[in-house]
Amino acid sequence: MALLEVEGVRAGYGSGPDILTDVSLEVDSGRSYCIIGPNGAGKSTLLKTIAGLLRPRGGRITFDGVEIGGRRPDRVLEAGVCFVPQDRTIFPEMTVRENLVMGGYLLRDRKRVEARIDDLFDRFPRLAERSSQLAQTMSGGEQQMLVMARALMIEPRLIMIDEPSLGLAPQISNQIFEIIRGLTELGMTVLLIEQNVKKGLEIADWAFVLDLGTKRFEGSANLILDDPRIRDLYLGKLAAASGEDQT
Amino acid sequence: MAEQTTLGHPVELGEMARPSRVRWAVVGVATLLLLVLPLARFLDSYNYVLQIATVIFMWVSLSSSWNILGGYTGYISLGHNVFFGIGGYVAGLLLLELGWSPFLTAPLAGLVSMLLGLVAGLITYRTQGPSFIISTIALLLVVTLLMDNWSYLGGSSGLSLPLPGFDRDWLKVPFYYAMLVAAIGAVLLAYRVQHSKFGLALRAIASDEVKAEMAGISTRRFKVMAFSLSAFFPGVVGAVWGYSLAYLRPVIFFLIAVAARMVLMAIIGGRGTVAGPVIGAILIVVLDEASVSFLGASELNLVITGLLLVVTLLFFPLGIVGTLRDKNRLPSWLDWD
Amino acid sequence: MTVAAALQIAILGLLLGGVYALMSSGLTLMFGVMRVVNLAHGAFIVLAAYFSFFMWDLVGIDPFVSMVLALPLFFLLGAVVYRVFFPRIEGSPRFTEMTVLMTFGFAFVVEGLMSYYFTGIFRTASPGYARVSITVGSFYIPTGQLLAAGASALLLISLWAFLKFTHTGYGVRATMQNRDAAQIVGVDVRRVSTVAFGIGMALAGGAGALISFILPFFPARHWQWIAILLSLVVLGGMGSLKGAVIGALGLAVASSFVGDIVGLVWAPITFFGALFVILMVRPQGLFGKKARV
Repeated sequence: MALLEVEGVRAGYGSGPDILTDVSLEVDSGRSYCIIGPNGAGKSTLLKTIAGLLRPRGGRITFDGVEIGGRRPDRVLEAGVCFVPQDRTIFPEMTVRENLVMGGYLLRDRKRVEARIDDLFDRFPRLAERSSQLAQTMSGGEQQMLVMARALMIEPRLIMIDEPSLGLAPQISNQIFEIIRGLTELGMTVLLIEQNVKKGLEIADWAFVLDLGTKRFEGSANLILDDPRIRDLYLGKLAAASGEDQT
Repeated sequence: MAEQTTLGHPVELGEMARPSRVRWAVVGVATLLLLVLPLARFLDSYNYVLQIATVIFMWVSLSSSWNILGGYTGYISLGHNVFFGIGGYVAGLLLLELGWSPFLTAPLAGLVSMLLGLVAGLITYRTQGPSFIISTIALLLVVTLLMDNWSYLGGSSGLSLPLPGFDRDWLKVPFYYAMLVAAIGAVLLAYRVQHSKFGLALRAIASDEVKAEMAGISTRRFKVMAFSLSAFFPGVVGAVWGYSLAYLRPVIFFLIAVAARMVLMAIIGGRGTVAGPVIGAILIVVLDEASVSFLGASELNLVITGLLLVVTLLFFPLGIVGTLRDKNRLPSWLDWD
Repeated sequence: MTVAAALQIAILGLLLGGVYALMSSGLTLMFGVMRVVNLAHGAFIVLAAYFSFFMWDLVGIDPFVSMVLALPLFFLLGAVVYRVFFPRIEGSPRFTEMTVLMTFGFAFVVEGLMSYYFTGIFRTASPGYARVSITVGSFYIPTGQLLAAGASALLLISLWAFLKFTHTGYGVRATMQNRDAAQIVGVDVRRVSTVAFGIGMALAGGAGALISFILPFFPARHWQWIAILLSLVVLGGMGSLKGAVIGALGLAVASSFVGDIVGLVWAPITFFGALFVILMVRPQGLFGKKARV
């Protein structure tokens, strides 16, 4: 049985139109996935809906056999689904350490929170150095590192990451990609949205192509990466454009 | 409802071109009735009816003016009675010092209020949302403090004005017509604004100020203009009202409850619509009369004001006109937009 | 003015500023966490002052005891008010503006009921310590005001400790700083908002009990207070507790100088004048961020 099952989900904002018209996909435990598609395809909306930040208008979302669609975000998180949104949502006036404490908000057990922070500081020495610095004074790359570390505080079973490289210099982006690759190598289930399609596909095992609020295609990431026809068919200008800024 | 803001419907240019016959008939009959209402002098309850009508006109004028800033532009002023009071005092002083009749100086009082509105607009134009609202309250309290302690203006005990020298039996008639003119003027102004490019810009500011600015609208200038324009008629009716009472006192004009009235009337009738404040004013004045005669206590009147505001916001934030239009049930004679 | 006289004025200003800081802290908390501008905050402070006054006048219970009682009572009142009224308007596109108008309505309801039941007479509770003063060197310090400022400081420190060290406090601070991020890490923002509104109201309750014996009050008094408090909140940068406290202390001192030099009735002008100046020069307030305005 798949870890995450999305079945015929429909969603949108406020009283606006449906952004997701009908999305179905399955995510297996221990694998990494990349969602690709043009702007406005509904990629971010899909992650927000899974995370509980947006109530689905129809369809089902189950995680490990339990229905999570329409649940409050803290309940979804409790189930083990963590979301790293694209705008680097740090707590600006808290220190790096306090930000991580917030990441463990649901753990409640102080000892466990401290142990997790120590563990993450080992993994991200840069954050350890800046432990008592206010988060708002850090660079974009460090902030991205912080939100990912914060998401790892509760040891999620599925981590969803939205555009981690947005607005970062190529070299910094590469560091972030290395961190994500590290997560997949540890066997964590990752669901990634990435504007840099090539990079995203290199990290992921499997890819979903989303367009106009529905899934158009899915397949092995390598296959899409290597097959020019599929690339042209489903990615068109997108892949061509993002191909230029790759080093 | 989230898409359709509380501030009226999107403009359709075609709409202006088809005036409904029913509407004109209703407006015509109403105007005729209003013009000959003083003839009711030959009936028994003449003074009372005329007085109520005068008060309604005053509130129509005040609330419609508030609506230009609070409704169309989306900038809520909780101190708009400042302009009402300034008008009263300006005309009162001209009467006391120079003997000029407030009926003649009322437009001048309006202009002075407009000037003050301009100053207030220039002070607050960089603020938005809550900061703006707070600064209007502070403005009101500063002016109140000044008026309460300015001995030349009589401080908190105010000034007495000489009564106009008309025949006692007809005393209320000139006030009636003056307020009628002010009410019609304010509604026409609101209508003109609604159908002008200026009004379109104001509504653009109300729905999304950043977008409006990006579309090339000089939001700051328009906001200051709206503030100033919305101060004119309050000054005019302040002049007439002070004269009709024959005395000026800060508590008549500067209580925040007066501002609350303007706000309540516009909101309950329908913010950002032309007809809304008119309906709101009639409704609230009539309700006031009823509640004073049934409950007797003016403190409870305050409670009713507060409750009505809360209930309106919770259950039909678009107001009477807005809600009816939303459901396509707005009768054409009420659709003045 | 001699240095000694100036110091004397500054001391009295600081004592009053402490109470203003407490009064505005609740308002700031509500805005910071929920983006609610509570125009009825002053009215609830007056309500608490009446509670404390009648407890003293009719039952003989000390205002400090009333303060301790007012905290949980007003917390409950706040939580209930929040749950009953605010979820309904939560999704509206101009939420903050809606809260201003709605709490404007609350203020009239509370004021009207107080006027009806308690009349418009000026009231002050007069426990023994409110009528004496102590002398330190050449300075005299009214005991009542000193005690009130001390209690305010204690409550503010408790608030700070709650925010800094407790689990819910972390949730409250996180929600103030970034509501989306708070939701993402699993903060139940509805619950945190209810708690924060309750605490804001409890602070109004505590402040009201202290006011009852240091400032004369009547039902309509709250408009002047709320205008002063809102000026402080804007001045400090909306939602910044630090800003509100510093603003309260600084401006209370400034206003007692204005009161001494120009005349007591003009003292409130200090707050409004400062508000207008700050709005023209730095609309986001002293400690506010640009985006928050």
